[in-house]
Amino acid sequence: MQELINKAKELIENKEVDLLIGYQSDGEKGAKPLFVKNPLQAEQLIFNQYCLNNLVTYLMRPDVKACKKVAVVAKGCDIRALVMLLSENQMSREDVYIIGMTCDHVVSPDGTGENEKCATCKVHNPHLADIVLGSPVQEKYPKDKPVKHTQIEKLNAMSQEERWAFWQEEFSRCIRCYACRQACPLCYCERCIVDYNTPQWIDTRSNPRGNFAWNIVRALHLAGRCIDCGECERVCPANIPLMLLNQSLQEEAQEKFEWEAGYDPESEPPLTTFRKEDDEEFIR
Amino acid sequence: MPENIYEPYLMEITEIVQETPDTQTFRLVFKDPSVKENFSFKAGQFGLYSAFGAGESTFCVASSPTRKDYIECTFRTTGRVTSELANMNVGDTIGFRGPYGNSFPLEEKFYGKNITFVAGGIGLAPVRCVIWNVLDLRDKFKVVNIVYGARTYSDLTYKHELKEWEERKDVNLVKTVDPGGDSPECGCTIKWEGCVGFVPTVLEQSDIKGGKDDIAVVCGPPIMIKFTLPVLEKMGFVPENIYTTLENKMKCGLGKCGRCNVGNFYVCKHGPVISYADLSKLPQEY
Amino acid sequence: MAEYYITQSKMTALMKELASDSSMEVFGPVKKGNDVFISKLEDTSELCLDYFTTVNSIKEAIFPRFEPILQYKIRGEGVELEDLPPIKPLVVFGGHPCDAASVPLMKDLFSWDYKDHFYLQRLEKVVIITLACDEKDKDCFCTSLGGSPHGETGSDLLLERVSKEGWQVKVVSDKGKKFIESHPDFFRDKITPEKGYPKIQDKDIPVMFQLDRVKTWIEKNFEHPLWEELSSNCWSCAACTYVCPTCHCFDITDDATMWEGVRTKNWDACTLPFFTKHASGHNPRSQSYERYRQRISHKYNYYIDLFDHVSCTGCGRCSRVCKAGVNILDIIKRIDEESTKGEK
Repeated sequence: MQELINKAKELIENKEVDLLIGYQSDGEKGAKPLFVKNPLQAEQLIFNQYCLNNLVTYLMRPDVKACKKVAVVAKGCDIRALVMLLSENQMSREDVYIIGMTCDHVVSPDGTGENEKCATCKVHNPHLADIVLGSPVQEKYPKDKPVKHTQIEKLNAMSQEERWAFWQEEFSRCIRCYACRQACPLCYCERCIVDYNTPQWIDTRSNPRGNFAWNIVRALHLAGRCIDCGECERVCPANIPLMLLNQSLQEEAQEKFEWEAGYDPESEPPLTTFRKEDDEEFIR
Repeated sequence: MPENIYEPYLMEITEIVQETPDTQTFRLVFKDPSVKENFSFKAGQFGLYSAFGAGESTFCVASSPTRKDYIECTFRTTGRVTSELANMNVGDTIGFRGPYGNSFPLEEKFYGKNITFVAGGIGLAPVRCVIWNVLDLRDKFKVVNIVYGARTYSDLTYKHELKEWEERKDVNLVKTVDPGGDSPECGCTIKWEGCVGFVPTVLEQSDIKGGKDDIAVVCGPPIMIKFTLPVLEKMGFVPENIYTTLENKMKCGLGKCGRCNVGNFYVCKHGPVISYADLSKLPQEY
Repeated sequence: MAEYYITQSKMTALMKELASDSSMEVFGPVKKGNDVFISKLEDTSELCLDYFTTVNSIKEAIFPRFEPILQYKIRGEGVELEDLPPIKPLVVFGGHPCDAASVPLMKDLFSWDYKDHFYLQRLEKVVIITLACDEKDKDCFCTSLGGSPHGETGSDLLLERVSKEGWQVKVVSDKGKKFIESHPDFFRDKITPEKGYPKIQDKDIPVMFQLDRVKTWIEKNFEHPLWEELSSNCWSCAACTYVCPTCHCFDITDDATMWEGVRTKNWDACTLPFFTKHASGHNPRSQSYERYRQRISHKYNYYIDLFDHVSCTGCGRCSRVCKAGVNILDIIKRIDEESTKGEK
């Protein structure tokens, strides 16, 4: 995409940014991240339907944070994460140059079809950016309509015993690689809860107790914050349907606080805001 | 039943000395009399000490191998295991796995030479085992110098032994605290008669001589070592004869868990004792 | 060496029979979604026999994700150490030659001076039934490291596909021989391979770099800026480490109440951010490229110094599982290329 390459070269040459994070081709595997520090590297930049990675996750990495200013190539779903990082005071708007890319949908290179999240996407056209590249895409999902996740209906229909058995089976494959945590743009804690040993909040072993605790605590720590990019599930080597956990909590946030994360940079996230009209049903 | 290399010896704590507000020395005796009879180690080796329920932590064996019947370790309360150990009492049981690692080449290199020990803070612990090893075999060595300092008076470890070394005619002890470290606020209730100044400075200003055949043993905080090494070289010591102990995060202590290596140097197998000449060949990842 | 023949259906039946025997542990390939995993088999497990390769390796059968190494009771008078459960006989089916080749490699480490009987006993008791490869992809590079899609190293039985219905069984070791002798009904006399088999040969996976050049470059270029460039995408998870058949790093933790506890050996990874962090807070490898450099250097340099063998079998699992786009073959090829640029 020549426009993208030119913009990237311009930003680097003018020293407007120290680093640009975008995508490069990965052959049959589609696309992979590219760290651009000089104009020559910028020639490898691409943007297509295989650009699945949420590059915003790199913004909180110590060496990237240390840069004066970073440019990031981002789709609407990725920008939702950036909006949350700004709401949570993890960075200032001036620290990042957002190259927003219009995106109709993304596809898995193995040909399994359009990504599920794209059907309910409200931000095919980036909602926060310094520049928007690509032709405008027709927004299909109404902005005011809460996103309905059909995948969790199957889970909600299960009895408690069935759900327990389901998750026991799924978590048995969890090897505690923390790819979910590292890929997630909102998992930016410098020291994760699982890395504490006084006390040992979460068993670090890949046993049922440890795996249940890890996956559920991570989902709970993302309650009201998860922006539904689906990266955790995509990167999981064990094919665990992690989005079922996150989407269940997104549904809670929607019902209790009419909240969907990452759309409006001015809005106040429910877990950091108190409103008198907040639901108090849980207080008995 | 095959030998379980991860199984520790059971030890009884027979003595606890509170060296500094956050440092303790344990004297440990093997619970199994046959182990107690046959156990031996060399100065510089380390072990993994278990607080059952909390985990294991790595410290050198701080007592001299010339003293049988017990071993000692000195540790600072830093994390989970050391906090648990710090709460223990005389009579409690802990575990010990070891001795692991290499040792100071006393017989091969130190016999018949002048030895200068330089240590800072809790860094005296791995050096103290060699000091007593040398002093217990005093006639095998020539001049023995000890330069030891800590940030403040209360941070000095082995205070009783400093006194012993000072009183000996066959040891030259230079003790120091950092500027301001001799004040009553720093726990100094006596009139401080040692030097006041950083260890490398005090070493340089002392009348200790160094030569290409003389041995130096250095241990302390990284910043102290950084400034001490050039001073030693200026004094005439050569890198092949300056020894230190490397410290790195450990878990198994026997070369399997892949954690403690500095380049291809496994601190638990090829170390912890290393000469400055060899250390400068290693990558800077420690 | 002796050869037999076994059909797919007989193999499935054999695995099912073994899996229902509670005196042993059986591992085999099970499908989940689009991928196949080497998993512990129950008698209800559905075996999958139609796959290119598994996501994970056979490693977890012989080097479990976590395993007790000490069990103790804490009493008023002291601590009592207790016996651990005995190690059961094992059968592992469904790995490829790149999996089996890792076994003698790991053995070197686990017998280095101190003999880790947990690993070595499992090794003694395991029967490794390997499937020779019918396919390869761009991430495979076993031949560059002295391996082969038909390699026998580390296997007890090597199954070579010779027809749509089944495999020729090569008896590689005495353990393999005994295994066949104790399950004679499942194996038949060898057959003449059908046309078109084997589907791939060594030459289909060309050698892509020179290992000795790679090792020398790594030895001499610790501070080279190429390390940061090659690993810039790495986000420091442990996916590559855990699916790798030769990665062996572990943690030791205690799990206890006031009265009893167990100490376990658990998988750990040098790629994770706090792997080398001292209790004091100092971390010798605080940046992700430093940790990635350690991973490659350990496999392609330090391990060779210690045991005369590279700690990699070219299976490509790390590259396949990495969603950050870090590809070990690309990295090693680039290092090889760099090493030919004279000097250093």
